[in-house]
Amino acid sequence: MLFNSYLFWSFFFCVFTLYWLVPKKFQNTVLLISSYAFYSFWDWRFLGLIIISTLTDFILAKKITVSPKNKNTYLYMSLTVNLGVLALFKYFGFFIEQINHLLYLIGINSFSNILHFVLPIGISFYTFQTISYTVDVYRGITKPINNILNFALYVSFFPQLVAGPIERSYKLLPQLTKVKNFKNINFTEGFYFILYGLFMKIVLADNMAIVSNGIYNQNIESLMGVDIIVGTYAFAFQIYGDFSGYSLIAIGVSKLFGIDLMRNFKVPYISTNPSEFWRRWHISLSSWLKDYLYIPLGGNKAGIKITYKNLLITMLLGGLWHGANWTFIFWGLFHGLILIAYKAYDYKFKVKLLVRRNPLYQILQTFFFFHLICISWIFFRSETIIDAYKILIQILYNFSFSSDTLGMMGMILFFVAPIFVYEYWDERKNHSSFNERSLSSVMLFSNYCIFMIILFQAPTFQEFIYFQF
Amino acid sequence: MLLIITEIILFFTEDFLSKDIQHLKSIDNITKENNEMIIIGNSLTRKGINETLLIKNLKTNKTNYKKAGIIYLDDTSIIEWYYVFKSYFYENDIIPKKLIINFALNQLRTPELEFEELSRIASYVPIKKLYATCEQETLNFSQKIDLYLAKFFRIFCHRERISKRVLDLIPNYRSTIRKLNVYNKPKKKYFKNNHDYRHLDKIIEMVEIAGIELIFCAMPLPESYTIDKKIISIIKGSDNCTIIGFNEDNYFTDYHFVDGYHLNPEGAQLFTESFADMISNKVSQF
Repeated sequence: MLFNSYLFWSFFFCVFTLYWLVPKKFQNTVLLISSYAFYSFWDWRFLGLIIISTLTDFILAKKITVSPKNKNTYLYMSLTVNLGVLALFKYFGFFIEQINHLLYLIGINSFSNILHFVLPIGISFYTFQTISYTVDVYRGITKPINNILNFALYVSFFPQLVAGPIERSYKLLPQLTKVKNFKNINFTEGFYFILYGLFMKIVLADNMAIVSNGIYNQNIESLMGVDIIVGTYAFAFQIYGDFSGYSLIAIGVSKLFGIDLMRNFKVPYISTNPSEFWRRWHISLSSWLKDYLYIPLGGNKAGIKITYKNLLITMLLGGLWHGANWTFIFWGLFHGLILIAYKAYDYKFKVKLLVRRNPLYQILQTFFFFHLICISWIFFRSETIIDAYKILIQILYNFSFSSDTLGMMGMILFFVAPIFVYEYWDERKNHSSFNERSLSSVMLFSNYCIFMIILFQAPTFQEFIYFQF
Repeated sequence: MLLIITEIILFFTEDFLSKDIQHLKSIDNITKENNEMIIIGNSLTRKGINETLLIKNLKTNKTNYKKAGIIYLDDTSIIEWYYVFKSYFYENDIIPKKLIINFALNQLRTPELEFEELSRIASYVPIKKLYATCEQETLNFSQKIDLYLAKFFRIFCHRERISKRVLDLIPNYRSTIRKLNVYNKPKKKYFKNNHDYRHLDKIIEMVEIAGIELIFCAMPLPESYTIDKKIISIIKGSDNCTIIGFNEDNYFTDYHFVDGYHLNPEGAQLFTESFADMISNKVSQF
């Protein structure tokens, strides 16, 4: 049941109507049943995993506060169950494959992998969300919740169940327990985010997919270097539109239930450096990694070398979170390395604030950094590391145009330029809340989205890229 | 409100969107002309048949056909031709003596129904027949909504035409998108059911009931192509049907084509003369 399907919107309409019609004490029950129904629509067999994860963390978090002496044990138990399930379903096959490969290299017969797991949709997202709850209870940031129904909803809330944003317990749980009033719902805001998200997915991402798939599905040796670069630009905007589109729809849908979810993207491609990029890209994951991995490892408090090591570990695991493939590990490694390189550059040269604020310097930095991000997307998009290597070689040694370069650039400009200008303008306004936006700008942008969705939606729907993670 | 305004604007301006819409609106007039011969095809027919020359040649060949109604709707294939003939002619008891369907490559296969096909079908089928069409085509939930939206809103119905007009402003857009589409899930549209000839069967069934003579004509393309044996066996299985082919014709060279698909005026003249001869003689090449 994709967000960009009529089926989902029919489902949403039924849930929305029911949610506001039933007595308030049953609202969360409606949402929980709907969330389980939504997940079952993908694959009912994996509903058991969500329930296991829910029960484990509900019980263990309670035990952490009941017997503080053993809180370390309970935390490790929670981590073992959650990460164990994640490892089993997501990484087991990959590691067996790598071990077999190593055994083969040293001349030992490999053992066959008799277990083949189907990856449960959204497992990486809800696992991280439940872990954050237990860790927050362990740290004393969140009090354990007594109502299992509310906690089950926290784990499985359908708008953000399969692709985030990964919410924090201290932000989402109080909202779930609060009584919601229909009169307080800001429908304009909800529909604004829904239209915005649909535009990002159906118009931007799916049209950019035509360009990027058109390039990346070809035989690499037959491609021109400039075409690959243009195809990679298209992929950069495809993945941005795809993922931010999903998050925006999730935010919009949740608003209509009276629940606020965090913004997951803030115009990431205007970033001038990697630290800024990770404050703008997949914010819910990058802040999760920072709070539950980077800082516990020591963060930047233990000297420059330890900081670099921590950055590298965090980004490598961030890469691995995306999937069991060397391409994602290299993607994470590459981001770790550029984070270190930028930190080292800043540390060594201490670039003056005055220079940093120079608009020309910022444009050059943004341009340069965008291309670094594009290099990382080559690893992300390629099927194998060898493919990524071949693509990079092809760009370097066959740097020429084809007759299609202009057409592809035209498509990217047509679909990306208006939304980029709008997002940049909106970002510069720095609104602290939605209501600070003028109604005319909201209406104008919403109408633009409606027309683009009707007239320029891509001929074929693409699945959300992040569903595979 | 916005949609209503757009609908009103499109109501007055849709004819300017494409010649295809003007032609679509002229089908009603064709039905009133009491043509004994109807030719249905797509842009290959539009570019490939010189209407005046065809009538002249039919008269020279001393056939009974003094005039012919030619319907050529862009990007259409068997499913659209079926609904055009059914909705405009068959169900209105307008029965020509001869029906000619011009096709090329795999255009007699039933394609997977995507929005483009559904929006075109919606413009041919009357409102009262929409439900029956949904049932007949076993449309899923999304397809049904697409069909109804295309029927009731011009902005949905003309979506492809408007977007193509705008995107054509991008330099090299058409040629680029054609190449990119080859690598975007290639062959998906026909691969799912590679030998689905449901609508070919249905149109043959229709002409058999109405006693119409049906000729399938394989149009010339710059590169010769073969016709699926299944198609030939289906057509040969009906006494009312004949198939003639220019698909492997050596008369047409690159000189006769304006692009990778369509004949130029010289090519059209050559084709029309041969076409008129062949349909007069009712020769089957297969």
